[in-house]
Amino acid sequence: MIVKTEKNNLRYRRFTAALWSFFRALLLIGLAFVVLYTIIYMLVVSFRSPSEMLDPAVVWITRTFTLQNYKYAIQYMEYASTFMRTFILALACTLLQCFTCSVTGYGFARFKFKGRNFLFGCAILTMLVPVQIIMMPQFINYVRFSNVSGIELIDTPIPLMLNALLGVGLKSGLFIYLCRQFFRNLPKELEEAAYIDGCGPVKAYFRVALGSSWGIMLVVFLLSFVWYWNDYYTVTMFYSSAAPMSLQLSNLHSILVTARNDLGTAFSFSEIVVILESAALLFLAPVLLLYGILQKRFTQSITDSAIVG
Amino acid sequence: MKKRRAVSYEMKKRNSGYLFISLWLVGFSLLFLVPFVTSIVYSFNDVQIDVGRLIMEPVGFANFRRMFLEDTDFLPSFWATITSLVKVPFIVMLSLFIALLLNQNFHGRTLARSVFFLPVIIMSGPVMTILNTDTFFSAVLGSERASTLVEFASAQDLLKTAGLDNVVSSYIVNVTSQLFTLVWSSGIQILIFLSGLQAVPQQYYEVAAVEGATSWEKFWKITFPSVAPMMLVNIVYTMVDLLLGDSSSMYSRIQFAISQVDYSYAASMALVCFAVWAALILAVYWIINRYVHYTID
Repeated sequence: MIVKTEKNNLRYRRFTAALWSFFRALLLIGLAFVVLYTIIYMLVVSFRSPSEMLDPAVVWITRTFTLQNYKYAIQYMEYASTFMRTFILALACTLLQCFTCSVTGYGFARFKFKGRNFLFGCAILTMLVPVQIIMMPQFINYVRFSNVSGIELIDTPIPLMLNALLGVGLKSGLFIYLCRQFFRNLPKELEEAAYIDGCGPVKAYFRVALGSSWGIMLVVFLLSFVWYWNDYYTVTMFYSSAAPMSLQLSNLHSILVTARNDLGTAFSFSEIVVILESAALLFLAPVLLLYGILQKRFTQSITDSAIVG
Repeated sequence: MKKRRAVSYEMKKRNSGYLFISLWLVGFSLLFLVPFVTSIVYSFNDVQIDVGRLIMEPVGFANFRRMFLEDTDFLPSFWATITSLVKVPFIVMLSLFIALLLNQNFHGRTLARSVFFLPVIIMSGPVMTILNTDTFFSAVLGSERASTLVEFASAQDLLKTAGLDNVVSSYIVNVTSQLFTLVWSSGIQILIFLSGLQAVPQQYYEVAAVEGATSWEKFWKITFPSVAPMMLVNIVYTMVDLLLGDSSSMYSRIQFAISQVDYSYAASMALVCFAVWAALILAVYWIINRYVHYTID
């Protein structure tokens, strides 16, 4: 009798689990479709020959598979060299920003000092001023500095990296806030143990706190990298010769329009569309790849925090 | 001897607080506060850009008078931006829901997570512009949207027959028909919630399972309080994103003014918006923060 109910119970549980995973799949596919729609469109179009754009019989699946669009996109974006420049610049700024935001968030979370709440409020409110408003006076100040000191700062990576290092990079407010919330919720015991072992606050941060914050630092790194990868407003202002990929991509339309005019074989309207969509995918690919690689670490960070907790 | 050591330890801890935020403090004062004050000065001046420098001419409150009395587009877009904040609870709830789903163990989780990360990359960059200007894409998208609109119109009839009055039902329909925008603007929030969910110690759930808690109880007693700090971040960030993101009509007005080299007017609009946005966000932060419990404090 008891065995039977036990069996029934198990069967019931298995049934609900199967039902739930079915509904979960349904829900996720439904929600993901809203996003995937766009990417599927881009993928499908990018492998298509331009003439099919005007063929009403072709809606989704191409009849002619071609890589020519990608070849053009790579050629006109100067993909390889642009990629290297953008990647190095974005990575440098991101790492600096990650470091500063983590340190600042830790300071706000763990120590009591005069004006802490006020200053933290200021950190959040920095998010509320449009970048463009701050950039202009900053630019003027950098120019003035260059005139006074003779050190040329404009059109070097220094202003961008300095902004990142000093915690006023792109959306730094959000990252400081994220780190602060994380550290505030992190159990204190390990750091206290480190204090007892004779570590100072700085050592305790580097040895203990930073180590248990991998999960949140990964999120900060990813978001920060995406924003630096996408940004072209601040780059054109401070370091226009960098010509990052985001700039190449947004200029690609006008480049393509004038590209082969002198040869008499200018790109047609639908040719431009398919090349642009392949270029957009080439632009997204590195960041997506990075996310795919790093997100596996997400699950590892669970075990890390389990040890700490 | 013992007492002196204790005092110096406290002092040391306070000073290291300043040490930890020192990098940010320098940047905040030199690279944010100074430019910000400068832009306030701009808003009371007429600013013309010359080669590498600015020519300023004081005009008093002329920019603000123009904003409120002459510019007929200012107040409508100001209100539109503020009313867009009704989306905040929906975005936050939806992203928590999606994050909870993505946090479970199933085949293809990596892929599913990458899909919901896509909006983060696409929305904030030049890819969005390419999609928006692609007439073929808008044709495909337009037909799709039209068909969903028809469905939602019939949903409104259904709600009416269910006895909900017009205002409520049209509100619900309005929000649900925006599911497209909601999913697209919750990528960052999903990622933040995911990181919060993964920081919840597994032992809590094990203990709860031993005590015989149901999933519902586990969610409200463990998961929800644990992600509450991240929920506050998400609420604040969603507000910032709606007020200053690409979808904000006020932000596009400021951007437009800058692109027209109407610099002082842009600065004064940004100043007015800053004051109102700051008041809104600080109020929300202050109210919600009282309900957030941190494991240590």
